[in-house]
Amino acid sequence: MIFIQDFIEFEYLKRTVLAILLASVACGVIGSYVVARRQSYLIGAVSHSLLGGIGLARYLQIAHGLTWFSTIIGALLAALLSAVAISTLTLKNRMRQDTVLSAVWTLGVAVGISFIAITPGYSEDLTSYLFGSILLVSPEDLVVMALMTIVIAVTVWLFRNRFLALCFNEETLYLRGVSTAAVSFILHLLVALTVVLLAQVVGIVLVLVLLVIPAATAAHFAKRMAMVMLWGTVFCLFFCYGGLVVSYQADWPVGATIVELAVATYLVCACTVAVRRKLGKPHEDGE
Amino acid sequence: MDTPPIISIQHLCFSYDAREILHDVNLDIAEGMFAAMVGPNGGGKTTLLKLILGLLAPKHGTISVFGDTPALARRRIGYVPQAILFDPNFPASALDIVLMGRVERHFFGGYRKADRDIAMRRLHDVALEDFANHPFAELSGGQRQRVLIAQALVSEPQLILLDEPAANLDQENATVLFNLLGELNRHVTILLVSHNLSLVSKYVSHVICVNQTVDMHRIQDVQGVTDDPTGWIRLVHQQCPVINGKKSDEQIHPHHH
Repeated sequence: MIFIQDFIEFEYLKRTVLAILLASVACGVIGSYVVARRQSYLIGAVSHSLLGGIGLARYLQIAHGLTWFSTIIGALLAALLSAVAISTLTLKNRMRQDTVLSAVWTLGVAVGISFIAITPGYSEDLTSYLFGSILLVSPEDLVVMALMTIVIAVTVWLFRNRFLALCFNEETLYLRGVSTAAVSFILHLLVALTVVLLAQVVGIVLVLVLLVIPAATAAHFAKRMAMVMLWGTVFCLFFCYGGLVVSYQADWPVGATIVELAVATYLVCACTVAVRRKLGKPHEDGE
Repeated sequence: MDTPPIISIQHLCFSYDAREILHDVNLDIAEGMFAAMVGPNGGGKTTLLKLILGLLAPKHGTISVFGDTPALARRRIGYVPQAILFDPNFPASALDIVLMGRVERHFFGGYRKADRDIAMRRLHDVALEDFANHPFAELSGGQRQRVLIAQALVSEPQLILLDEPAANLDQENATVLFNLLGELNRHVTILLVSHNLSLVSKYVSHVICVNQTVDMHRIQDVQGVTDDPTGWIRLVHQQCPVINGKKSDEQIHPHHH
């Protein structure tokens, strides 16, 4: 198979495989909280705001020679800023949530386009940011991704009880004297990191799908949070490696293939569960 | 009074927008009481619980719990709401849910063995220890209610607040629950909201009538519980605002704000 041969020969594919592993761990873990808490609306706003950070990064690299300011760092900055903005502006209903999300979303895209316009040189092709560039992971990018995944994993390990209570019922956590605002804020920051990681794989436009589908698929049969996270990670690895290999052989776009595989699997799983439920209950009693 | 009251409410008023729910409420709950709040729907019983927990703030008047503001006192309170909204597919076992009652005890990391032991004992108290590892979402409504009661108990509170705890329970489980509460009352103060005074009257020490204002009676002053459809009781104390479900005219207090 071409992929295996190329994998052995080319360094960049090894980095791709490793990058996917890091992104999948974050996806399984954080995706589980997002699905349990039913807060996937955040993700569109955060992911599109990345464009602002990416535009800034390219501008600083090209117009001001700051070569260390890579696009992943720009994306990270934008993601964290939007998470902070969304958290603080929606606290205690200070501002309406849909207004804040729309503003963050569109401002990010607008800022990105503006920076790209004032960056000297040829007009930047946005495709790799919009649809993923997992085949173009540099060694420096990989280090940043590894650090982000470690931060996510360690933070979740330390705060897992609070995150679980928060997702189950905020009032429960609040009445135990814990600041739900603080716990929620930290979780939003971790979601922002995960969005950046997954945007490397499937791009800004498709991040939302990849973040929720693996955990949502796992949630069909996994009954405890740790199991949802484990299977969420496994599914994400399956979608990414599967999509990578198939698209590599067929010369299709990687990000899109990954997402197609993810959605197809989710639908099969959801249908199977629904059919099983119907077969298991011949008489529907109103409960 | 030897010890100060656990809950002390003075001249409390609360309204949702223009509608005044509670007016000039004065209430002292002493340590060791087992009190049931009764009254018509919309009369302010649940609102009063939320004020005690600090989920709502009074418009006028003061409320102190364990000598502190409600926000500072809430760790010493176990609360069982009437119903909670949760995801029907939430991935947690019954034990996971019960343990949440101890979430504030450790800043980092997981629950310790001591936490789990206490959680299992509380599950035993509500007769659900065999369901500890069962998915919470797959339990029946009554079983879930009992898990939430265990969650309130696991924090080893000094005061337990329950909002219609027997609403989803069958007769047998309701009896088990109230026997448990009676046992707990030996070292924990209990305040609950109930629509079914004939059920709770066997266990409580005090009855609190809540209908925009509040009157407390010792259970021995209650002249017998009728089985009429409204479930309201006839009281020796004629000033009680809850008489046959109607608000008594003598209870129109002059506005003081």
